[in-house]
Amino acid sequence: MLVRVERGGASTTLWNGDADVPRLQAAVTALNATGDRALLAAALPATESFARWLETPLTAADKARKVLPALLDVQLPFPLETSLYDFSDVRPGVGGHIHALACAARRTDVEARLAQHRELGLEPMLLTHEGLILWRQALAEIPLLSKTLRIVAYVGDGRSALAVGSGAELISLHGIRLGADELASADAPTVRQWAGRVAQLLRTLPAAGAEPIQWLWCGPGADMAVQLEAALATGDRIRFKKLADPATFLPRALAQAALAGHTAGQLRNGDLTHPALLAHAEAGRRRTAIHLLVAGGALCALTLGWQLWLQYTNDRLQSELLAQAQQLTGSASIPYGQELPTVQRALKLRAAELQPFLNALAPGATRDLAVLLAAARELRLTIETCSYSGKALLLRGATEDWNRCDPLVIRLRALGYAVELSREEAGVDELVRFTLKGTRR
Amino acid sequence: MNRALSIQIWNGVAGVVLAAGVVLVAYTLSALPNELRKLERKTADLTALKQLAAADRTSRRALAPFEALANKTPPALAGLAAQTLAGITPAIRQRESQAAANGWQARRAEVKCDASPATLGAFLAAAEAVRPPWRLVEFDFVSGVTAPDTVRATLLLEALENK
Repeated sequence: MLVRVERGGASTTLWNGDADVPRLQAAVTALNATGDRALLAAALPATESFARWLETPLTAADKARKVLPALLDVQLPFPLETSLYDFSDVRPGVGGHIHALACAARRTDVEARLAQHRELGLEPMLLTHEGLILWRQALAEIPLLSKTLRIVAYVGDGRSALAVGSGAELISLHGIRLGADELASADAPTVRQWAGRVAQLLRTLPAAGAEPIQWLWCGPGADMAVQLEAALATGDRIRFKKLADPATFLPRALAQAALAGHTAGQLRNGDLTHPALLAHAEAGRRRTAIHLLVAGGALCALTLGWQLWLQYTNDRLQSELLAQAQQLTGSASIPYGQELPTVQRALKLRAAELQPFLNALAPGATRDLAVLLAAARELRLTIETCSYSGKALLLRGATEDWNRCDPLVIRLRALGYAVELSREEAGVDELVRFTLKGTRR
Repeated sequence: MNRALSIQIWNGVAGVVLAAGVVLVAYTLSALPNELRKLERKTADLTALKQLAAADRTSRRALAPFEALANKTPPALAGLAAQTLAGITPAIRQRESQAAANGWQARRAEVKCDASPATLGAFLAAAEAVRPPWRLVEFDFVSGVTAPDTVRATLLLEALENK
């Protein structure tokens, strides 16, 4: 059966496995025309593959992965070297020990299945254990309450597959070499044989609590559910239900897994891996290498750019310093790093020689003296002595009024002096003597 | 060349380039404080030099008005005193001289006399008005030594001169 499923979930049956060869050819042609944009997934029957939970004594996942092949080798009914296998759900279980679901198949069976597909013009990218796919799709379509037991029963062409689990946990996968064709032949022993095989399986399930078991029918043989349910004679413990569109359930499940990128149980691996997947992986590795190269290149470029900028800025500052120093000193040779001290030494000498000119242009003491004398005359202050040397002014005098020298203080402050005034109480001559010290700020 | 080898070579080259980038970044980061200190010092030095250059320009500008004078020798203080002190003959004594730029020198003279404040003011104003000017640097007054309206003044004047 060839079913097309789109990302939105819409499915179309392109070929239902009948003898309509032109329809198959048209479907294959359409499929091949899409190139690698269409993902082709196929299932390896449960009767040709093997699935088993493996429990390691280790708690570290990376170490556990190394011992998983050896543990699988013990369990496999055929040599590990002649098989293809895959480990999924590698995670801690009871007691923190890592466990994993191992899927395996004989290499010859995988090659035969691929050849069978090639004869139809198909080259599946995924070739997965059908039981695992059935279990996951059933969970996706009908979520299950925890601890409820479920059996997904697929009755296909020439074989049946059973996926048993509890809640979201898959417990085991089984294959029976009796399918829709055999069971439809009204041969009671065949149905009994099928029922007996299932009964064996049911006996291995936990009976405690005797919770009802949910049984989901799917596959082209799901139409025979009534007949098979009667043969099972399980009473009320099992509640049977048919999945929606049971005939296309497995192809839809495969397509959904492929679209979701689920590769658990992928048995087309190693040297049998689909060339498109190899190319995709190689492109991924090349892309990673290019990203690393670009990141490394960007780091180098940024760092070198920064170094160059630093060097450029340093050189520019140095040449500006040198030019400024040469201009100020008139000397062509100035030691590296000594620009400022050299200029300071040169200008210190020149500043001393130019200072008299600056002094000559600055307001002299004549202005201060004129202000002082005018104020004394106006305020009727008697100046007894007055001396000025550079920045310091010392004035002694007398006045008839205690407050009369205050305006003088204000005028001197306006000239830029810090003024300190001290006064004595009036003596027998009724004059207030004062001393005024001024320092130019 | 097969593809696996090609990817290995790509990975190798990428690894080397990435490692080189990481080493360069580590080296640059380790050297960064030193480099920034160097730049900071140079920037500060340049700022200081620019300030020195500005101060130097200001000082040089002060020289220009004196260089532009036709007469680079200040008039004699005795002559100025004779014109402004009205019959008073001050005691004038030459003091120290200080060398200045371009062959100039700052010459100082001490003037001692008894005069009224107004007369002294006129003398000092005349002294500042001449070119090159005599500038009052220091003074010392004592009132009423010889007469109530007079002061005994000791004046220290400075003028620039280029002979």
